[in-house]
Amino acid sequence: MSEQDTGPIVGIDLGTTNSLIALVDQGKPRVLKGEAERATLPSVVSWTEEQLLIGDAARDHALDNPENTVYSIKRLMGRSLGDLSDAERESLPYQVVASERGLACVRVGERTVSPEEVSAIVLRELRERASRVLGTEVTRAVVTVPAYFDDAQRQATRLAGKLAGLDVLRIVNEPTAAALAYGLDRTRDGCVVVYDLGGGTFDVSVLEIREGIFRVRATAGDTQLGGDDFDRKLMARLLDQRARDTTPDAKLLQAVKRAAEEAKIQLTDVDQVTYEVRDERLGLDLTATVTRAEFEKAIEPDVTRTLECCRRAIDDAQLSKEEIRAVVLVGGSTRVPLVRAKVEEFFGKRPYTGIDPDQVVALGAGVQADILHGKSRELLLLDVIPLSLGIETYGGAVAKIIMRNSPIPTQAADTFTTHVDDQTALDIHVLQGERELVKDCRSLGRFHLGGLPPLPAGMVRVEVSFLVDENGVLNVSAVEKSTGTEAGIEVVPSYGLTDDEIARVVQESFQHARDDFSAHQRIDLRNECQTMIRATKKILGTGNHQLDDGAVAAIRDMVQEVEANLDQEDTKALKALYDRFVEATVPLAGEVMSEVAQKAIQGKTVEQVLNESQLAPAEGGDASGEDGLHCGDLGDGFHAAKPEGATPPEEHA
Amino acid sequence: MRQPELGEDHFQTLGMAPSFDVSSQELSERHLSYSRRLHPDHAGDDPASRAKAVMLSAQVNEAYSVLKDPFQRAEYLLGLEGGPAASEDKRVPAGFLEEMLELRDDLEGHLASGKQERVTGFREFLEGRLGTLRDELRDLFAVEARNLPEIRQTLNVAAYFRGLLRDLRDGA
Repeated sequence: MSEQDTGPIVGIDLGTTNSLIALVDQGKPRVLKGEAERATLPSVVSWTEEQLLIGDAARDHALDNPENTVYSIKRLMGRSLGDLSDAERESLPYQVVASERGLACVRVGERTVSPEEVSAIVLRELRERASRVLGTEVTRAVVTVPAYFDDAQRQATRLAGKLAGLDVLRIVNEPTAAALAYGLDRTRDGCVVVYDLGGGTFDVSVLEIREGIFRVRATAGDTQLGGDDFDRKLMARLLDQRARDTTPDAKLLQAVKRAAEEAKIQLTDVDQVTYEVRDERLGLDLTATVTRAEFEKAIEPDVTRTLECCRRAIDDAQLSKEEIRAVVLVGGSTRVPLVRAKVEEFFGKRPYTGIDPDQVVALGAGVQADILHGKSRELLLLDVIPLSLGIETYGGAVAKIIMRNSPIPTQAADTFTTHVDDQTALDIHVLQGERELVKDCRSLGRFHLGGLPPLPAGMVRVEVSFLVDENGVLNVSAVEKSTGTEAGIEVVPSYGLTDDEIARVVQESFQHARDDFSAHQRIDLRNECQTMIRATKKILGTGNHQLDDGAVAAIRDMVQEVEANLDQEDTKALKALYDRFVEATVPLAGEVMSEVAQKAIQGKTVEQVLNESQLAPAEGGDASGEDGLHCGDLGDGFHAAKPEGATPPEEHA
Repeated sequence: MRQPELGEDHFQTLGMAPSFDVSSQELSERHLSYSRRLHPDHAGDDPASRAKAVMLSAQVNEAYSVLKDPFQRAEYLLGLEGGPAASEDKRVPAGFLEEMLELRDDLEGHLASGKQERVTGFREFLEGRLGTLRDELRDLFAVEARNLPEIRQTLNVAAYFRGLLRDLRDGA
């Protein structure tokens, strides 16, 4: 056993809206807190020109930088562009594009970023948090997914973990994890329903708890239904107020989404809310009023859809509603009063809300991590596969080989034969879904069986084995029966990435992104330093200032030091140098300021002022106009972006 | 891929004798106790023992899934006894297909009506028919000299009713 194998295992709830990390500490699960003692990390990533923002910082930035702020990325995990509805795409302020293989990706500046990479950034942040809190490197995790995630979505989640430097020991279904946390809270045996309505997904699972074993009897859900849909209803109300000819841009959508979210939350406690968005750029002032009754009417169809899933899950579990002992609510959207009321009405009992619905999944993931660590042997989760697996048969039909709600791990085998003489290869198309036709199911991949012996048609018999592991992930193997040889299988996944692609992404993506980023920062810092060196030299060269010789010498030394270290590859060191440079030149900046302030009224940049001014040496012409230096920037720390145009004078005050 | 330590068939896998008449309670308890012993989550970190636990556990789960459903159980038993597969013998009683066509029309009518009580009523009818078919299978397996073609035909009929029930549930 390697050193690594003895380290901690954490549980991570990688949510549509928020993510959390937890582990079992002295026999009890607890969530690990990050900055400002907050347990939840918003699943938001924002690429600004200076840096990569994650979590609260990214979310706070969303309004300023909507195109480059990515949230709800979970909705895109393991999906193709064609899988997304127009409404979904339109509600996302960032640009969703197709990768070479047609998978949904996000366009950020010049880069195309996969949902796996975005999720990896969030996971890495949580991993670093845990490493900090625990004082030891964390490399192993249990990550939760909606129960109704298909194979491609699970694979994508696992890959995200890998990109974040995490060995994902186990993918656990969110409602099952929640049940585990619930079961620890109340230890009576019986059947429970977990109703999990998150930001973007809905899951319902029916479990039987018996002597520490949590056996899932059935699960159902909708991976495209959640609190975001409620927000969308309120967003539409606000957007309807605008003139028809204004197209909402990313910035407006982001502001409208924020206002809608807040209105939704307020409607939990009050009967009527007025919410508004002002956008001076577009000359818009949107105001809408919504009563709770109106809101409830708008979301009722969505809530009804969740109850239909509940009915199906109970049917599949071969239980009646009366046999359900408790209903556990999970996910922030279960705070909506209509949701609670409808669930209570449907099951005829008051739902259990004893555990924070935002934390219960992470806590359960922590418990599962503890089980894998061999510490909670009395507990065991027995989960199921949410969707049936099948193979394409003649005429575009699907033959089911593993039925939905089968306990996992599970297996099935099927025998295939050749159709023509001397056929040496077979293609098998694997699908997931409940429908009868290939076109209505989700293609998981095509398996190419090569190296078959050339025999008359029908003589070759290949037994293909399908194994769904404890993570709900499919593995395929095949044996040619007449010769007993293992047939060579080449897997071409329809959604997930090929091994080569994974290797490439692992290499390129995350670390690379940071490297890219860091390199970008360095270039900006260097440019900024050079501009300041030129400006400083110009001022000092004229001698037209009030500084004494000592102060001038100190500044000259500083300039020399900066020039000598401009090729510094360490971004942090360069930033520190830059900060000191800015500080050292403050007295000089003050000297220039009074003149600049006057000139700026005429709409000129500092650079222009310096160039025109009597301060500028006659020969001084190496400064290009683009490198304009904002005087407002002189004192305010980190600003690597290239400024454009003049700073309005009032900002100088 | 079958692990010999768990036996040759699904019944042996769960330590039971082949029979149509199995108690669902007993099956459930055996599934839990075998899972507790074999599940990969309890297998530790060693990749080889984990891989083996996945295989064994998959086998136990497959056995449980097949045996807990009376129709799948009957189908499996029929296979063990050398009876014909569904693809080899598709016979149904005379007039049955006509009845199915009528029932399918009924189903669509009930669904289109949007009336919950009509859907529920039809569902109870289908469940009743399936209950009768299950009892017939029990009787057919109870005799020493099994009439395998008769069992096959009963299962073929059951498959139609199960399809109707599934479509009713998915459509409701």
